[in-house]
Amino acid sequence: MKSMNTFFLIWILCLNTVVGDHFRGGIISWRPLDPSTNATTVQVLIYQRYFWDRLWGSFAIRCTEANVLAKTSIPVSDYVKCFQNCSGSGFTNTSVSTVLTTTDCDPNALIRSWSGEKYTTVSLSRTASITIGYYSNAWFVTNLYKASGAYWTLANRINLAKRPDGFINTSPVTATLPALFKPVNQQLVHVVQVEIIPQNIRIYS
Amino acid sequence: MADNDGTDVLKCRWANSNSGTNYNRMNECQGACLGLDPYATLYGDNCTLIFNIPTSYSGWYFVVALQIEDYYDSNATTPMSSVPVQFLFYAYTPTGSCTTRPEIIGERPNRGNYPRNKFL
Repeated sequence: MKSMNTFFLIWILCLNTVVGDHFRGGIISWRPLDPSTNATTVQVLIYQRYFWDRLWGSFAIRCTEANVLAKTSIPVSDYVKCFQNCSGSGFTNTSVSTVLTTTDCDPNALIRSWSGEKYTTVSLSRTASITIGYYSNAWFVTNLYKASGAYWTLANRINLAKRPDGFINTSPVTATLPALFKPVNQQLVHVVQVEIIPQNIRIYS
Repeated sequence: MADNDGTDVLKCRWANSNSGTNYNRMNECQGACLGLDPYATLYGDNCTLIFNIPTSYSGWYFVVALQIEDYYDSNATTPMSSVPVQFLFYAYTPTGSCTTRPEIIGERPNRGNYPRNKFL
C-alpha cells in the first residue's frame, strides 16, 4: 500500500511538471507569401506568439534578457494542428512546431512571462479553407478568473479562396502584451490595436 | 514603388465555444471563454472594451479572448479570416492619492480607427 501511495505521488508530481499550468495567452496569424499566385499549392507563412509562465516547473531555466540575446528556443514542444476541413488541405499536424524563439522575458512577479515568436512556412492546397489551432492545457492557476487550470485553444481560420479583388487574403495582426494592469472599481476603456498586413502591395521593379 | 488598395474592414468579437456556428467551427477558447463576463462590453467595430472590474477581484487575472476578423468591405457578411488573440488583464487596487488614471492623450494611431487599413 505504501508503495502504491509512493507511485501515485510520483505520478501526480509528473503530471504537475509534464502537463503543468503554464499558458498566459498568445496569437496565431498567417499570410500567403505570394498573394497573387495561381499555383495549385500556396506557400503560407504562419506566425505564432505565446506567453508562457516563466516559473513553470518544466522549464529547466528561468529566462533572462540573456535568452533574448541568445534567441533561446522555448522548450514547449507541441504542434499547431488542423481541426476543420483538413482533408486535402495539405496541412500536416507535425509541420508547425510550437517551439518559439525567445523575444521577451519579464521577471516581474505579476507578469512572469517567457515569450517568443515563430514563423513557419507551410504548403497548402489553394482550395484550403481550414481551421488550425493550438489546443492544450493548461492556463495558469493562481487567481485566474474562469480559465484557471483549464485547457486553452487558439483557433485560426485559413481560407485561401481568392478575394473579390483577385488576391489571396492575409489575416489581421495585433500587438500583444502578456498582462495589462487595470485598476479595479472604475470604468475603463481598452482599445485593441488591430491592423492588416497590406496584402496587396505590389512591387514594381 | 508600392501600391496599396486594401479596403478590408476589421472587426473583433469574443472568442466563443459555439463550434457549430462560429467561423472556425470549433471551441475557440475552452476555459477562457467569457473571461471578462459580466464586467465588460466589447464594441467590435473598433475593437474597444469598456469594463469595470469589481474591487473584490483586486489581485486577479482575467483572460480577454478575442477573434479579430477581416471583411472584404462593409457589405460583406462573412469574414475572410479569423485571428485569435488572448491576453491578460491584472486587476489591482490603486494606491495613494492619485485617483485619476493615466491616459493616452492626443490622436489615436491610424490603425486604432475604423476603417483601419487606410494608413499606408
